[in-house]
Amino acid sequence: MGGTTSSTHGFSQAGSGDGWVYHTGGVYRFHAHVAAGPGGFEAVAATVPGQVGRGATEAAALDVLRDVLATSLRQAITAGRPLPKTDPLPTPPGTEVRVVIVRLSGTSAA
Amino acid sequence: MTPTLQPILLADSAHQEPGTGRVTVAGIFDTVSVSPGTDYTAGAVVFFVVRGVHGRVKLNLTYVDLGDDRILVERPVYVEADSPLETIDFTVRVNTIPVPHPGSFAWELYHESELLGAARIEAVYNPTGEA
Repeated sequence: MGGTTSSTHGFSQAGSGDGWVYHTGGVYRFHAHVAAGPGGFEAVAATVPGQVGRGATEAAALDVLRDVLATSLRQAITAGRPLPKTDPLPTPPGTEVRVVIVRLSGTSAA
Repeated sequence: MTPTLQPILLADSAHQEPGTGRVTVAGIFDTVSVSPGTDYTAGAVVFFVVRGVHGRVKLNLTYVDLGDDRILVERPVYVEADSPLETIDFTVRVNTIPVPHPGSFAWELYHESELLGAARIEAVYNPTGEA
């Protein structure tokens, strides 16, 4: 028995005061299923029914989906109701899961 | 190249031992209990380990309300490695964790539009009303 242990991992720390942004509202993240097809890419929101973006590239499809979600969020906020939400859809074969962040307004730095 | 996340944890503290380089993560937890209407202010660290990093890479660390998908807290995190085979331990201190209501929340780590991993936490109200 005996011996010593050590780690060769790189180690980094970030303090509490640098870089955190606290949001008071208006910033949302959604998961999307993205697939390539003959006409380009399609991004489908995984938990919000009927929200789809299409584009020539994956990034373009996600940008369109971001705009679609932003419009739906603004309408829901104006109407005083939550955005319809379902349990996450199973990830369809041949698709990749991506994250879409929608920024409406109302952020504050801490 | 997309970084690969190994663990991501919420804990009381993490530190590296001088000399050996070993990292100690203490007080791992997945539930916070607060008085109604207050946030968790005892402080914590988000600890994660990534590989597959070549050069300087920007990641985004976010705290999400899983009830309505709102991002409550976020920050960029920059990791750097000379080789994608290198393993990087990273700890980020956070003083206040918002608890707008009891429920499920998650610390999520992204690279561009890709979710690398998440640490889910539950927030409950302390029935005694004490923080």
